[in-house]
Amino acid sequence: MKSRSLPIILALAAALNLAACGKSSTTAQTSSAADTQAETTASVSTEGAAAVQDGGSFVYGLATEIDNLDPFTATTADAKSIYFNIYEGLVKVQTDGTFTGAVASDYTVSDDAKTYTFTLRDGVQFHNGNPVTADDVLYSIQHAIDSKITGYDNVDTFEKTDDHTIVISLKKGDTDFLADASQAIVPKDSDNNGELALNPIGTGPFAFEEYAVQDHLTLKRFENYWGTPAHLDEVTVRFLADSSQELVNFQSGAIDGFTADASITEQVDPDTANLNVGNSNAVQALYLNNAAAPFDKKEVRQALCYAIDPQDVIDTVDYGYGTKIGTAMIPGLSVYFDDSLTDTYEANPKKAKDLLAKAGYPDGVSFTVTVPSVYQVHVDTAQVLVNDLAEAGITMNINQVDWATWLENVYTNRDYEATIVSVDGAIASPTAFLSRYLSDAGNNFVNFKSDEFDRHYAAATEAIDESVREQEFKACEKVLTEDAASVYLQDIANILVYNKKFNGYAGYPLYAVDFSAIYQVQ
Amino acid sequence: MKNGKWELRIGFLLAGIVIFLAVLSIFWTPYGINEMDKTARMTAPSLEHLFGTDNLGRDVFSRAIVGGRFTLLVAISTVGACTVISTILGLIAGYVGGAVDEVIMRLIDAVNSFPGILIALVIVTIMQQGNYTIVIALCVMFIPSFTRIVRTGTLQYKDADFVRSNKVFGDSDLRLLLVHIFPNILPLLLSSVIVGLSNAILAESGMSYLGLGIQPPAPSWGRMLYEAQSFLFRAPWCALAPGFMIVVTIVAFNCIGDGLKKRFLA
Amino acid sequence: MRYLVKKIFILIVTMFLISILTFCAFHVIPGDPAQLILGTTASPEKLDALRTQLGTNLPLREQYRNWITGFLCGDFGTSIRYSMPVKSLIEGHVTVTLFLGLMVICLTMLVSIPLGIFTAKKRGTWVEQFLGFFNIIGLSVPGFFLSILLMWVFGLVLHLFTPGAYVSYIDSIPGFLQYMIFPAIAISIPEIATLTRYVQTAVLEEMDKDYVRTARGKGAGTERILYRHILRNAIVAVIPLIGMIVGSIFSGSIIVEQVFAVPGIGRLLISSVTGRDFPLTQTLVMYIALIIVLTNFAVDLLIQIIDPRIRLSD
Repeated sequence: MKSRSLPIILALAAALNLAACGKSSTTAQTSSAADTQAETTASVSTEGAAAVQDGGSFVYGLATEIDNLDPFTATTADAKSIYFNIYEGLVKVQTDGTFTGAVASDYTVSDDAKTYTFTLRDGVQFHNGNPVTADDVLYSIQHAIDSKITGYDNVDTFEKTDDHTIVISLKKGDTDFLADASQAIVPKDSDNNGELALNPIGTGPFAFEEYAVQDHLTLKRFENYWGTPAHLDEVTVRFLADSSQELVNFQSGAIDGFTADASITEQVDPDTANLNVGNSNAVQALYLNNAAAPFDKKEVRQALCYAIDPQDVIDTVDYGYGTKIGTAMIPGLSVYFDDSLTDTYEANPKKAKDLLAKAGYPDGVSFTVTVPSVYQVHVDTAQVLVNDLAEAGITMNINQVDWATWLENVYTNRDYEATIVSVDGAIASPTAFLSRYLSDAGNNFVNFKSDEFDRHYAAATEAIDESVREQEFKACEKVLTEDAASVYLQDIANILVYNKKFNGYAGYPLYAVDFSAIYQVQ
Repeated sequence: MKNGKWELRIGFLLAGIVIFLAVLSIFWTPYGINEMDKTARMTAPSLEHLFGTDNLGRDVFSRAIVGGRFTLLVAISTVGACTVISTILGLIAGYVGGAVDEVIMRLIDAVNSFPGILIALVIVTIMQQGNYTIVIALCVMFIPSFTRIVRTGTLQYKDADFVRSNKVFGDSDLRLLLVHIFPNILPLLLSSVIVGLSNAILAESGMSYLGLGIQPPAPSWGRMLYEAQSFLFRAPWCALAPGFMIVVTIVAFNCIGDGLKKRFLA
Repeated sequence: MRYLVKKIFILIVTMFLISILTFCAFHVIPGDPAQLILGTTASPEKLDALRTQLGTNLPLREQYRNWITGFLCGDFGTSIRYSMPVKSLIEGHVTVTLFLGLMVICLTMLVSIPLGIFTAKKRGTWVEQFLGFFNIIGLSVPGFFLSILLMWVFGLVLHLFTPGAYVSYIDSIPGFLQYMIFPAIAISIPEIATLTRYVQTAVLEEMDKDYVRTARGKGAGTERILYRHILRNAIVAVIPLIGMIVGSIFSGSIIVEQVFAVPGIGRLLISSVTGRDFPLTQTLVMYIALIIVLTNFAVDLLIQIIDPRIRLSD
């Protein structure tokens, strides 16, 4: 037994935001490879919008578990996707990735992006019936700082200038802080000892009703919601033990909807189910440990890029759904996504062999890829890559490990050669995807080091001007691609399957399942 | 029917076929087990693909016979290792008796009080997953029952007249154990070995279901069954092929076990 | 009486060994509960404070003592993964698995004893061969696959229940039982196959014994002989196996609860091990081991009461 440092499993999941098979989806338009198929199915779900019927209950099947429902400590992607319906921040993300006011009706940002002023909305109530006051907001901001929520370490001062106005000053300008301001607003002193974990109180369209571990979680429509109330009376989240049970449960009628990967398209009857095809908004790649031989040599990493054909993975594992990418950025963030990098490496086994020879490996290389066994899609991807790589004289052995072991060995201790996962962003911002490649980043599990990258990244985050920001982030992506930090494969397709009795679901560029949009069809 | 001849014949015939296919797969399979054909995924059984193809377009027949090799290898090495260890423990416990016996038996009781799958799960967690961790895990799972059988047998023959008389003639303890006691326990042990093989095959598939077990892309029957369950309705043949092989193998082992029992008891 | 004292002594020693094994196993797997609870960003002071609170900075011997006294007093700690006391978490789940176990035992007994006697009666006929074939099939289908097949046949084809729509015993007891019968069948089938064989063998042995032949000779009907004498012996043959069945129920429930989405302790155990939720796992393991050890103990006593001859051969 090797001595391993202490695992910080759950907390890590947060820092990492590996949704792996992701839990979010955008609309079908973002998925290019499968556009034709996607649109035929997706268009069905937008028709028939005429017959909206309020009321009813919806059962959503979830094949993983949530840890708790405290917006300051919950770490699993699924907990976040569910409590998206319970809590709201000062602002709230929209389906197109922009932010609009929620608890705050209005906000202004100073020119240097250092001062954010929020005007609280009148008549917003918590689920316990109390109105939201400025003190509740101050408590929530302080709690976010204490809980080390991303972005809040940059908060310098925050105060209420009157009962309806909150002013937050940042240490340095950050145009991204609006995304951070979507962190939940909770009642004052409601979470001093983590009470919200099992008894969440927010301002969202659904109020928490009950939770039975490994069984179900019930949400009820919040009648005093400040905005458009939800259509459904009740939402039940049913916890299933394994994703392979989702389909049986759906067919039996035990659940009304679930999120699945592309293989579901071949198994579900389109006459009885709506399919909302979207992206998982995560970067699936063969991540290489840049600090370990043989991947400390750029030529070897590039050789792998030439040996692998991402389209092959998309076609074989994901039935043609999924979007090819060539760098660590999701196509969903279209402003920052550099699609010219996608085809930098054309599949070419001969070139791969030449590069290996040049790097001092004329007889090819052999390495082990560590794959988390919970994600069949990554295990299948590994099996396809074994074949691709063999053609270029590269031997890849697969080592399946459980999720906790993966987090500990690969992510924390960086004790691995290569791994396949999808890396998700915590917020809809390019920093969420690129910051981990900074030489000194704590979550730089690929051990990537490049002064050029660090320089461009610093320039991008300091820039107030949007075009400079865009340009510098794209320069970062280019460094990652040209240095072959890893072998970037795709943004995996993510499909929400739900019963034709319902309609209206829309995806977000974040992991969230928005139940308030779903309604019964007459 | 007499002396279990009938059972033995059927058992050896079926086991022979399974083992022949497993050995054959070392030298030849119709398709490579990793050969993927994305244009022919989940195709129904045909002359081209005897058992159809799976979700990645791989030939199920080729994988089933190679899977047999891996599954049998796991089962045989598990039961083999377990038999050796249990025999030593059981002989010592039974023959020496006293405090040694108590210590061994109490430990075995303790291990036996954990559900088998839990033991395996903990061992795999502690040892890190590798292709043969599962053998160690299953081995620990099976040791208690095997040791008990050997110990009971040893106790039975320890005080038998022929053992005592040989002791009087000055045979060493080791000689008594190996030459006089052990051969008498052998028939009993043999039938539990056969049952153990069946159980190991089932346990391997249970482990695969929990994501432990043989590493992909190498197939094992348990793994194939596990992978097939998510598209059971679309491509049932993917599950039927390994399922059928498991049933045939276990039927074969059971027949041999029954036959041997009848022969020795008669 | 001496026998009872000895048995109780052995029971205590076994439980002690189990507690040591459990404790050691989860200290070999690295992992600091304090860090697990507070996360990566926690300050060293906070970590130290929590370690003192949890007692994880004490020497191993003392930690063991604290843990075992806590366990004996019913203080199981707090689950890391579910942020709630282990005790309240387990309570609900134990009831579910307990029901499942009872159903499995009832089903197994009710089917395998009559079936075993029946096959013994039909010795040498095609009926025996036919049932023997089913017996082997029952033994050779992997548990999880059997569950999936049952779900498919009874749920999707015959519509006898709705797979996945678990009904809590709190909401409706009949609904709960109606749902649980199918996971119970899934666990029972291999048990029934094993037990039937044991009963059959026991009955056959009994039938060849002198007293049965004598009874036959006296002219009593075969049926009466079978049911008066043989049934009792068949039950005696089955009792020692109850311990084994209880062990299989837990092993079986681990997988069957996954497939049928039943919130019992088998499923809880899997998620606690994979999530490295040590307080929860340790308690569950001790709990399960205790049930198995106590069952074996009870079985031993039961055999003594029913058939005191066995004491001599022990």
